[in-house]
Amino acid sequence: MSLKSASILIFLIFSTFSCSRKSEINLKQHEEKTLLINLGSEPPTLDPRKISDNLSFHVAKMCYDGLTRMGPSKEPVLSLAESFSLSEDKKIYIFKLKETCWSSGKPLTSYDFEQTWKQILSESFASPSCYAFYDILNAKKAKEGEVSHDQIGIKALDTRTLKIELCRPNPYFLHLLSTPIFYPYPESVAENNQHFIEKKENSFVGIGPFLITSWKPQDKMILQKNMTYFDESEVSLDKIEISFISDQNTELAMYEQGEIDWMGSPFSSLPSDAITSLKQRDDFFDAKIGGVYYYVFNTQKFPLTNASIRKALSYAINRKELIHHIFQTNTEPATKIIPSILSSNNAGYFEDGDIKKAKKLYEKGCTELGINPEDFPKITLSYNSAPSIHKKIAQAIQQQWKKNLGIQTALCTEEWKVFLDTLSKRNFEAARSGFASLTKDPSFFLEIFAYENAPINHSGWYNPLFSSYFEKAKEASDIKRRWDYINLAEELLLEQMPVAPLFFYTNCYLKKSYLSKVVIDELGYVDFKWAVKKNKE
Amino acid sequence: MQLINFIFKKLLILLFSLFLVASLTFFLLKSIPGDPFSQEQAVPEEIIKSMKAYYGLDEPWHIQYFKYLKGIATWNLGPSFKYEGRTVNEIISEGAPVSFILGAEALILAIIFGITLGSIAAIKRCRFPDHVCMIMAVIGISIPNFILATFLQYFFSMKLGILPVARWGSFTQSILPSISLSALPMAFIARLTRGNMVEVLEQDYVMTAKSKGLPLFLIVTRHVLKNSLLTVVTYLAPLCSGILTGSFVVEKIFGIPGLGGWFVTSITNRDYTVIMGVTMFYSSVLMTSVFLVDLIYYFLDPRIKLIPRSASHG
Repeated sequence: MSLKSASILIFLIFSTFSCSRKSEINLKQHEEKTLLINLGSEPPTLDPRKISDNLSFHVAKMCYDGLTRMGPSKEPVLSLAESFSLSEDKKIYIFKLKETCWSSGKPLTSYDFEQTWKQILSESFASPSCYAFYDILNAKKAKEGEVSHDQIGIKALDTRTLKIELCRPNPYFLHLLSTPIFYPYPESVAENNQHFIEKKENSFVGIGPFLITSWKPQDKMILQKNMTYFDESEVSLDKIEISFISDQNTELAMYEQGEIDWMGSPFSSLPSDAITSLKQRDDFFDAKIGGVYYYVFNTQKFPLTNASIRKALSYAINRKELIHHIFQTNTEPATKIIPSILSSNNAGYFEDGDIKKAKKLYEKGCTELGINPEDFPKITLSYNSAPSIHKKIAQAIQQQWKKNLGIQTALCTEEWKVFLDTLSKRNFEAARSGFASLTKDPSFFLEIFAYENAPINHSGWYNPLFSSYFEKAKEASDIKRRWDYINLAEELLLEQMPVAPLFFYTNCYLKKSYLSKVVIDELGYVDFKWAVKKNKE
Repeated sequence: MQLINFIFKKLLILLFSLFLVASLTFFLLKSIPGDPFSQEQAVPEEIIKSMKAYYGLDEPWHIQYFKYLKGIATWNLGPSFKYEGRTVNEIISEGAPVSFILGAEALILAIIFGITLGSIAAIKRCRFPDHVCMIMAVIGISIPNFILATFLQYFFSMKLGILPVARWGSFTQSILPSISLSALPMAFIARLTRGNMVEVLEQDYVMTAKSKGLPLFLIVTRHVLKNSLLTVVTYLAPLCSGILTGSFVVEKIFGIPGLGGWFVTSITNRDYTVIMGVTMFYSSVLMTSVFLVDLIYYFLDPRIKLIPRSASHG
């Protein structure tokens, strides 16, 4: 038993003795409109142009805004944009901006957008998420230095009109615009905020529902309501206090004591050993999000070069059993790649734990490879060491493969960055991996496999037919045709099984009953713009 | 003159050791796989390239190495790769005082109670108070501080509600973490003190003092303690540097914004500049405290010669 789980166990033993003492905390006056949350670690950046992680993403949502924002109905609503028009061929968007200003008093203009986006697309600018822009005309070429900035399909027509030209229609473009990477962040604001972080001088400038008023690194961040926000009347909270506690048990204790209002995903995670007891409670919630957990096969390594073998390995995993033993939450088993909440087609492409078929495929694969099933080589399962859940999953798969197919497996634990290195160098046989999408667009899940040498395609699998389906889906101008091609591509993918999908991610969290109207979109991103904190009396 | 000579030599050794630590850290870091920009949702090549160029990671290793040595010499440790707009100097100057205050509190607790318990045990050797003190010491040594911390947190914060669960800022918030941090060194000091004092108490000069009719309290404080504390002082050097630069576990459990966490998180993030900065900071503190202990020795026990034997003969 690791040190961590030992301390969790002790904590749990003690807390079961005291279960009767449920915290019924009446909020004090000054706390009533103050939201208290905890992030498992510091947000690495406040610069929306450079965001690639979950925590920065959420802080950015509090203090900035975009042309659109995911609204309470889980659909994008216009935010900084007042109206927009879309051309017949669905490639040209023209946005009219609201008349609003930055918290510094400077008016927001469409030039702010143009400047920010073109900067992200300049060759020398380090922005890990800039691939999200690649549906915009010439964006990719500009990033690679092939065309000049004037040829990018982004143009401010006047101070309040912005024209965006896409290279192909994207039905999810309004969703995409609601992600922080598309927020305006002109150089003047960036410089000012950099100064705020580094020198602790100036005041922070934003354009969102809240503004950062102080940030003591590793300790506390305080945000106040932005009185100059265009939608100020809709914002009920006066203040957000963010603490940075990384210890899950401490966080849980703080939650119980009413020192924080939210515990768990997406800001931190619930102690996995405690979930069994926590899930009985009324303040426990779980929500499916747009992410999939899978094992990727290195299709360039014998015997995983053979599709029948890969399929046999995937079919021989009993996902329901695995989930039942490990998660104890209603995590959904995955027999496809695109999460069902984002998909048009909810049925899987094969049956979970179909051992009969797995055995047949296994024998077929062995014959194709010309090896005797008894001589089948040992397969190594690689995964990263923390969190410990990956190890439990690998052990379960190891057992199931042994039981169902008689295959021997070795387990290989690696530290996170070492593991990433192993993945990118394709130094593995089967490895834990996964994908969570930035937007609702299901094509991102297929894009992983569309290019042979893309760094994200760890499997090394490439199929020209698949890639052509993928391209056709991307080019399709009407959504039905798009879905047809996506489904075709996905079916082909699972016929070839370069990855064995295991389950779709679920966010688990505890939320105080006095906190309501928190908007959580389908991808699990949380927005406190409309949140209300009130005593029920 | 001898003392100055000694100090000068020790300082030279200190500087050389720091150089060795700096170089070793640099080459070890370059040899472990992974880099600050790798992440799960693999980033396209051209983006990685521009990020590496921005942080100067595309230069040949020897240029990086000299830049880094120069940074250390001028104590300008560069920006963090992971946390935008934060420099390593800032991280250290913000985290170190917090860890230092917490460590000092724990250290004071450990020294006062450790020496007291050890002395009581030695004086009442093999009697009831001795057994009680030594049982406490064994408990202190064998219970890991994260368990003690969780227990204290549960008991005093959750159950009794008299002390805050976590966070940093007020004196009450520092009580539980400093107790959890001090338990192990306290127990260790108590055992060391007892062991030495038992020996010293049997020395002739103590007998003389006793037969002179001096009160026990005076004998212990004036004659016995000074000679029993040598090993404790030796132990204090690594203890000080360890405890003052922060404890990862205790700081994590109590959510304290100290330096301790950076030792671990910076490695997980491959935040090169932070790793090297905190390592250098820690080794400077450690070596300085070892150096100070050498000096304290000189005053505590004049029998210890500072210069090598051959030189003293000459």
